[in-house]
Amino acid sequence: MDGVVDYVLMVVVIPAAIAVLLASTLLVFASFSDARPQRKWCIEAIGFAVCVAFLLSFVRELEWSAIVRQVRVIEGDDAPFERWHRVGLLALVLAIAAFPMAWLHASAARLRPGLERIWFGAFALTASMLVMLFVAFPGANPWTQCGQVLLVLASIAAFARCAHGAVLWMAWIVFAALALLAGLGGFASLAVMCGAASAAAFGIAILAAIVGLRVHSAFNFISGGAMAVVLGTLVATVARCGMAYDQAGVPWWAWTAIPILPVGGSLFVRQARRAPFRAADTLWRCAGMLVLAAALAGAVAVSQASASEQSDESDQDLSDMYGG
Amino acid sequence: MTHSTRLLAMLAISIAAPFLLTTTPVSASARVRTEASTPKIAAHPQESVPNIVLDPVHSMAVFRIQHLGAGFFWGRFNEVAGSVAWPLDDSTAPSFDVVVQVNKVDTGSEKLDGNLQGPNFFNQAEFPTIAFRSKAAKRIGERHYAVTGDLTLRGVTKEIEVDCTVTGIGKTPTGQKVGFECSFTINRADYGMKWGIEAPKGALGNEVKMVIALEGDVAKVKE
Repeated sequence: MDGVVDYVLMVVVIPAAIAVLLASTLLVFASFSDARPQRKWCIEAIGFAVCVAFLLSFVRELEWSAIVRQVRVIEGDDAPFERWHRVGLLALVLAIAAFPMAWLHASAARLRPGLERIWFGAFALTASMLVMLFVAFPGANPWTQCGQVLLVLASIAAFARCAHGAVLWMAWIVFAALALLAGLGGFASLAVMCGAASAAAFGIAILAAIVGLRVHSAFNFISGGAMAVVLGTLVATVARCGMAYDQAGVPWWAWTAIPILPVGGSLFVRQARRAPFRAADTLWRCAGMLVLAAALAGAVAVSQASASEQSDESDQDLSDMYGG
Repeated sequence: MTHSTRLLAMLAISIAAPFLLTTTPVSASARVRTEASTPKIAAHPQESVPNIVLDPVHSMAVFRIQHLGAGFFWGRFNEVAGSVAWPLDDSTAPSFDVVVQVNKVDTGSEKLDGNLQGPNFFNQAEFPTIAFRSKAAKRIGERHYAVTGDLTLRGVTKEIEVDCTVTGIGKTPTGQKVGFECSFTINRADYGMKWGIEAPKGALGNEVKMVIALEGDVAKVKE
């Protein structure tokens, strides 16, 4: 039992705590910054902390060499090269790229009106193309890679268009859903990594809400820009990874639907817009997403139950065939 | 779409295009590793001896691992194929070329089978087979041999010594059948299968014992 507690502590709790600590420095900086662009890029860059949690959990599970091995041959290293380790490399790249992306996106408005959107489109397109080119899981072919591009773009768009102030709460739910599916699919390592990312998003959202009570103007969360690109890319790639290695017959559409769950934020958009204060807006958006998540969970449960019934029927056929 | 957006989109694609042309999704380092870590293996040393083609129905591999530091847990692989070169007498030691299909792992629990096929253990999606090819052997008793060969598991090839016994030679209306029983022990961490050893600590043992029961049909090798 102690072993399990230590394990959860090392691969979920500590990575998430470090990520929350790192995010808190950005939140503090944003709180005390008077300049709007600085405040904006600090808040946009917070997505990096979710990637850090995922990355630290990955490293605790597999060591740094699993990431180094993805880019070059290590002398004297005879451990196997595994394609799914690319998600660790991706988390590292996104954690680093979050800062320049956030800075460019936040400063774009000062340079020219509308430049923000252009930068955002360029970031999204580049991220999806890089994932298509460098992250290929077993069974990949040109069609699945094109599908991966679309999934990354759809996930980025869903976070950017529908999440608004609820972006971190939505990241919490999306990563928790991925952790559940990965666990169901027999992929324990991916489940704990998603668990760490989910816990980090939850911790940062709580922290932001607490600090936001004191400094209202600082925490108008920007779901677009670097935040959406970082979260959307990581979530879509992790979902594709889970789908490629799934051993429990979790339906492909469940893996595909999770990265675009934030579209649920639009379900109660009228109520959200009429909300008298920001927390109510966030609640309505999260409620919409939870409705979609519950519908998806129901569909997965029905599909698993029917698959299980079919399996029982075929077992029955076999036992009939062999006389018992 | 504005002119600037189009320009940026084209810029992104043009940055990515050279990578598309020069890099395949499968890492080049993986291929280098596979080639470097797989030594050249000579063909069976005795080309004139009867070649024994393994019968997948009557061949199987079972493995044993300690669970939570308590009981020994057994599982099996239901599909074992390959061939053995052995002259049906003790004049020469047998030479094995055996392949086990990872997706045929069977523990009696579908859920556990799925976990074992997943990336934390055998990673069936990337490494669908386990292979053993013998390189040398010495006789250590009557129809009893110590066979040295390369075991490839999860893309890692390491030399191991296998204890092999000829269990019997039987006759059928169409020819002869030969049986072997081979056993060896490996540390799974040597093959990158580390889940459950340190994290979560002690969930599963590192040492895996394998027993492989082989039966094959004797056929003359074509001249």
